Amino acid sequence: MIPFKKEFTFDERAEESAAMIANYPSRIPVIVERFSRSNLPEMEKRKYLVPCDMPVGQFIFILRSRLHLSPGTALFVFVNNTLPQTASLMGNVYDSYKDEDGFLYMCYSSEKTFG
Amino acid sequence: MGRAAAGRETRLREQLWSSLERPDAIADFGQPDQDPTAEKKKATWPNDCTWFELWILPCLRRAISVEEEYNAAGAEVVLDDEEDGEGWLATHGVQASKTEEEEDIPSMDTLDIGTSEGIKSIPTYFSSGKKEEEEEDIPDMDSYEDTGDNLVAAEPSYFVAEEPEDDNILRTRTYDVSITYDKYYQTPRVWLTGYDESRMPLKPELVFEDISQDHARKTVTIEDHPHILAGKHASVHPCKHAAVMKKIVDVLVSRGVEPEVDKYLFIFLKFIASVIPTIEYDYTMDFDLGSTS
Repeated sequence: MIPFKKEFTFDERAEESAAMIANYPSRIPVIVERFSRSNLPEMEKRKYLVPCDMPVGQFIFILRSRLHLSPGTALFVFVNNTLPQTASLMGNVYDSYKDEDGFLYMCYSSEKTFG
Repeated sequence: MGRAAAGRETRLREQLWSSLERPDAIADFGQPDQDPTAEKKKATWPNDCTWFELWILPCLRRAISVEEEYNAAGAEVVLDDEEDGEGWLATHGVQASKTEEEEDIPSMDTLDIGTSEGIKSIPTYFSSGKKEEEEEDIPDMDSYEDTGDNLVAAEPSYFVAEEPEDDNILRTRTYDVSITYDKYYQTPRVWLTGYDESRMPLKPELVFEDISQDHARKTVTIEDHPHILAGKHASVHPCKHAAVMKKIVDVLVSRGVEPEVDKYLFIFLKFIASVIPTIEYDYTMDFDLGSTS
């Protein structure tokens, strides 16, 4: 799948994020993509609209259930190459790490973590 | 894993435990009078008595109920998007969540007491009695009673608060999360000590409700805590911790970031989150993995 940033020009992306924020002021437009070296499947949805007050941990849980990960696999979600605090709210993460085009970009990776 | 890599990792861990600065959230129950640098050469935890505990962490909802709640809150709604046809996936369904919120909040409007004729508050009762007996004697009371009636209608004197039939109360449990050094696996090991709403200790079986169902009873087991004598405690089994930390450190190195030993625990805390998704323990720091390669 072509990365979102390469598929659309900056102006297209900025326009779309502005429209989503205008329509859903209490929600955040998030683009979730697979970490390039991860062997996880691609998700069929990469554009998410999440409530500002949802903790990052819960969002990871949602992604996890969509990916149908096997038990014992941990899902990591990076924002701008950073592992965010799981207790922080999506709204705070958005404020800290949002892209210039108005989207929050996250990428996911996983590790076989637990025995 | 090559010998050099294993040696490096052991050294990382070794240095971590002796040089870890104490973030505010972590209480150190060690023996402060001992010089940690003197123990540095040991490949194990520098001091048997040193362990970390994060106290009274809120756990707002049960991990096993997260999925149910998520579905109840409208789950996922795909919003159409004309531009590229890909569509947005809105979590907590846009429409459903709004109605849900309205229903959940007990409202004074729905109590319907102010307009009810059936219940009369005491001032109304007396004033209506007065009205009949003393109407002629004290003409001034007429105007007083009118305002009195209005007041009573607008502001009923006392309500009895009743538990709503639908249980919308958030069951906030609290957890003490302690981190010990596991000598066998030479990694940190996480222990969970749960308390219910009234700070009474939770049975270990109930602790499983707050553990991701993928991990409960497999990764997480009930064992004796090495430092807390009372009771059994839930623990995340550390047999894969070292390998995962190694992978993460490899990612750091491949991105040209020098791994810092005092960050070990912060990285470690990130991946524990998938086991205990609803316990809000990680207020430490975001972790920068360096620039994109």
